[in-house]
Amino acid sequence: MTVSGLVITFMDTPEAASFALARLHEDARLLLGEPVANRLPIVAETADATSGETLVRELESIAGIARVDVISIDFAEDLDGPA
Amino acid sequence: MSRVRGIEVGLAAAVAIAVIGFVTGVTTTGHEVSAYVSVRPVPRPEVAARGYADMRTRSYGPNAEAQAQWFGALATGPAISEPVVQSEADRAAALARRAERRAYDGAPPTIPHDIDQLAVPSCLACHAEGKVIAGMVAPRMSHARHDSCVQCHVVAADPRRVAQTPPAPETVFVGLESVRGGERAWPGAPPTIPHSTRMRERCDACHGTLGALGMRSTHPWRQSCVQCHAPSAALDQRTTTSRSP
Amino acid sequence: MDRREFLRTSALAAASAAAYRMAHGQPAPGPRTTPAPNGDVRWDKAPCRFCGTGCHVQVGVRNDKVVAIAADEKAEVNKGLLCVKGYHVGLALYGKDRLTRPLLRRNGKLEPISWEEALDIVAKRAFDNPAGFAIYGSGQWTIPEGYAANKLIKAGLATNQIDPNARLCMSSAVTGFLSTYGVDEPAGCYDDLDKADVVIMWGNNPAEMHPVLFSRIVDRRSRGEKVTLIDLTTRRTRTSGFCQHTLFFKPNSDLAIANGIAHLLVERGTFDKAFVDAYCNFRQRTEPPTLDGQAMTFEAYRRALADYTPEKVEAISGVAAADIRMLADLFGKRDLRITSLWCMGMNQHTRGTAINDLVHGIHLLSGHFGRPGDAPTSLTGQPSACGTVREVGTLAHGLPGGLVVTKPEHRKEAEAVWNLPAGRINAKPGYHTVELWKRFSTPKDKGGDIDTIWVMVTNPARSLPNINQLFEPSRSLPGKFLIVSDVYPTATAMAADLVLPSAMWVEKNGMFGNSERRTQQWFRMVRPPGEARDDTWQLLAVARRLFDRGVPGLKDKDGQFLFRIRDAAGAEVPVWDWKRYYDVNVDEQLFEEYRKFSRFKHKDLAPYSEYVKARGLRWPVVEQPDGTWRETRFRFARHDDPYAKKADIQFYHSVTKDDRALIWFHPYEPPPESPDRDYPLWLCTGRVIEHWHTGTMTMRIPQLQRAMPESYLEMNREDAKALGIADGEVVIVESRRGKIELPVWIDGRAQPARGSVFVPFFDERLAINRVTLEAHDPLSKQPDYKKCAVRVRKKERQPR
Ligand code: SF4
Repeated sequence: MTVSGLVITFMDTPEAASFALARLHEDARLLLGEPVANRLPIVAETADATSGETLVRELESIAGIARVDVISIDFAEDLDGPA
Repeated sequence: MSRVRGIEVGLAAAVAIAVIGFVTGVTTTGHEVSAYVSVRPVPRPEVAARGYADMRTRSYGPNAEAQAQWFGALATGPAISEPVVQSEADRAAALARRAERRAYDGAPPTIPHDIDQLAVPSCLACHAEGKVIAGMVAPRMSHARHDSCVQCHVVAADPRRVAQTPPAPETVFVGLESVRGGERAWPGAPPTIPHSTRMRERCDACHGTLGALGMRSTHPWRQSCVQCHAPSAALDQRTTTSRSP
Repeated sequence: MDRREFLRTSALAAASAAAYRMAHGQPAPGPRTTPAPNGDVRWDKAPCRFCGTGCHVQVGVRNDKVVAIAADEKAEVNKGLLCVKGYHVGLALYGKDRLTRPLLRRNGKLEPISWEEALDIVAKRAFDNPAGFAIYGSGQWTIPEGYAANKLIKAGLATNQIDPNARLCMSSAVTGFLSTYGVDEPAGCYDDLDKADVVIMWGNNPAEMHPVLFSRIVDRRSRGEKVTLIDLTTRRTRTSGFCQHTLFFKPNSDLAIANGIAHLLVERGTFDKAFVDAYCNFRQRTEPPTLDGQAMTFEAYRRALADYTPEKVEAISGVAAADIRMLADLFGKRDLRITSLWCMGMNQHTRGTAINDLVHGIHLLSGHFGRPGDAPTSLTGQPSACGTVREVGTLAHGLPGGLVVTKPEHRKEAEAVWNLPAGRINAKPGYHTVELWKRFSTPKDKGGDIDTIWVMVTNPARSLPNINQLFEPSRSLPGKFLIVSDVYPTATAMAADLVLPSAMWVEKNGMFGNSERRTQQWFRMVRPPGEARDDTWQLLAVARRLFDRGVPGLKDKDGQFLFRIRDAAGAEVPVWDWKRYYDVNVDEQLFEEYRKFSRFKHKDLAPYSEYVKARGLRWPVVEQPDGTWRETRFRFARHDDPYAKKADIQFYHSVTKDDRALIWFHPYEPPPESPDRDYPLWLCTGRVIEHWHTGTMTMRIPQLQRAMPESYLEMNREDAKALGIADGEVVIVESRRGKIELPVWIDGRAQPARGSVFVPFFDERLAINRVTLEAHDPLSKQPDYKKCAVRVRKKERQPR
């Protein structure tokens, strides 16, 4: 299990941003924080670092998202362990 | 094929190559003594005076001294368990020294010693893994192996042994400075990586036990750096806000 | 709180803090300490300003200044790597002595004047004597710059007096392609370097001149692949050490070597009969030589080659007969992939067209063509020699898109695109470079009918051959007026009558075309210093002045200005007014117009917007049914080129109009000037990795200048010993044309063969082109900078 802190930067047009925001709301892997201007802090949980990276690329490709910055990555391999 | 190509030949050959590299590739210059990163102070050996007749053929300068004592030279740096004591001042000094050899943060550093201008570069003999030689550090290269080293790295001073060097050009360029450290989410959190990791994938080149004081990791035994230190997507060209995606 | 919850909370805290800081440009109140690491640097792509490799860089800009460079990860050419020049390209903008104001020579001194005055002077020179007004351009012009200049001369003044410095660097490659395939530019591309089993470098030192391509090859070997490198050379260079075979040949004898290989292929029957039967015809030269030559049978070809036995070739070239056989063996193996690389060694050659033909010929004869890794690939030295010179046709006989002024149907096509009245374009080519400068340096009453040259983005006072004859006389002849647009006080600018300060590289929008048919685009990122302005703007402003003076050529057939730039609503924008120049993207509009020409010879270009997104695209770039644009890597090969439809290989611009390429026979002949008793040494000139062209940019970059601070004479140790010359000693090198003083460097960057010396041409102070020869190839008109006869002597002691 990988937990990443990300910042989404939306494009400047409000329609594009709200479209993207709606898409983010639908995504169960994401925990959304409080938006600051056109930035949105989020937390993403993925199975491992690779799928985390894939997720970031997915996010980048959503229309309305200008960029995604990776702020922190934490690994917790044992969280979903047999226990 | 007459030249020696290193690395694949195995360990025994590697030592031999190190010697050859040392004698042929990494000869000397009279400049830059003060710029070497000193691991521990080593008394400067006496160097025999030379006649003018020798000047064109013989080595001189700091690496010549190193050559004289290469036997004792193949020592490694401090053990990874050795505690690292370093200060803000060390860091400032290390960054200043870095800046001297780079046009901007991220530029390939210039070479602070003489090289054979023609031969296939033998840089890897010392820089593949990094070495301490006669008290001077030959840092480990920070990137994957490329064989044509002098494609990116050039010497920092006139390569001709005997020449009158014209003055350097004046420039008003101000390069991007090295950052002093990454961001921490809260005090004590692992800092993010504040620079591009492109061509700097091997963190221990600068932050390992042979790194300059001030930039060394306090926990060199931990090898998976990006587990805790996050690289920046923007600096690594994974995202961009430019007009040309 | 469990551990997962803890991780999520702290990740969110970190992300929130970062979001706050990013949004407000400062840390959020709270326990934040460190500032954003260089977060205020804005990055954008551009091709490197220097060589024809055409790497892409990412340019870091802060406060209107370039502060950093990174290799572009997304670029296919360089895959995240650069050479030392590319890493320092940003510093090229910041030499302390940038030109920032127009300067006019008054009473022998250059004095500042206004742009208005300066442009009026240029326009008046062109107005008063259009026939004597020429533009001397460059393979460093951007595509829109070259296009505007070409249109101004070919359509506006209708004189065809425009030629570029690329005449001096790749015109033999052009004639080689035209005579072999009927159309210019390489069929292969850099992808061949990833697939080739054998790479043969013909008089080429890519370790220094095309470093990124060279490491692309040698790094394959560090990854465990097997690549055989063969260095055919006249001196030991950095490339030699990496090669399994270094074969030294005598100057000019490359033709004999090529014939020797062809001879063995034919005699042994190891040539590719099926390929030749299907796709090739044979050709020999006529007297006088032409690009078309005359047909010859295979039998005649075979007889012509009969002389070139390995032993005879050894006698001519000095390359061992066994090595000639080794080369023929390699070409005789169809399962190997063989790429040939060459650049100035084959092009700056009085037999330049011939040797280009012969190397193409060996590849065709042996069938080493068209499969990835099998390619004869000519490299260019300048960043847009292909893009601006060859494709835009900024040559005395050229029109955009591979058209030429001498063909009536081509003139008609161009007149249609430009909306000109029929017959506007002049059928007579202008003067080629050597001729142009000769006439500029000759008094008017003695046939010197060129009286004004406008030089843009190049430094002929150092890069022309035999400058004592071709350049300098003009500086004291009455009535000769030299205009120079440049960014630094180069030797040419300092000798000029009028100097126009230019914007450079990322100070303007631009487009380049590299050696592998790749068209590249960039945007302006910083403002130029002082009053420096774009070259395209300078051209348009002069054009407008000529229009205002009523010069008919500046109007199209509807009476409109030739360079009509419009806004989104279709209204004309007065871009000749500098304040309005960046109201619209002039580059884009010029490119979209130019693009129409690219269809004539299947060199299709995509719309400008496609290049904005890409790290360059290789033409032909063809639109797909789904609206996307697809580039072409392997031209004439059906597996990749959409225009090759009829057969696996289709030379669809064939000279013989039968889809076949031509395999030429050219005999070896001795060079025009060889060492003799009075001038016993060969002189070769060239470059070093640190510097580019005449060093006007790289010598202003401290890291590069310190690594190679001045020019030198490279000499064989034995020759030096025989002359009693010591390393570092300053000597005089002298030819029948001129002499200069240079320090000697023995066993330095390279080692010449006995009996030859080498001097790089980057150092403006030590101008080796006072010594070189202007003899040139009869077809390409490209001079031979690689061989002439000189003597070297010790400097006399100054009498006290
Ligand atoms: S000079 Fe040439 S090889 Fe070097 S970075 Fe620029 S384009 Fe690439």
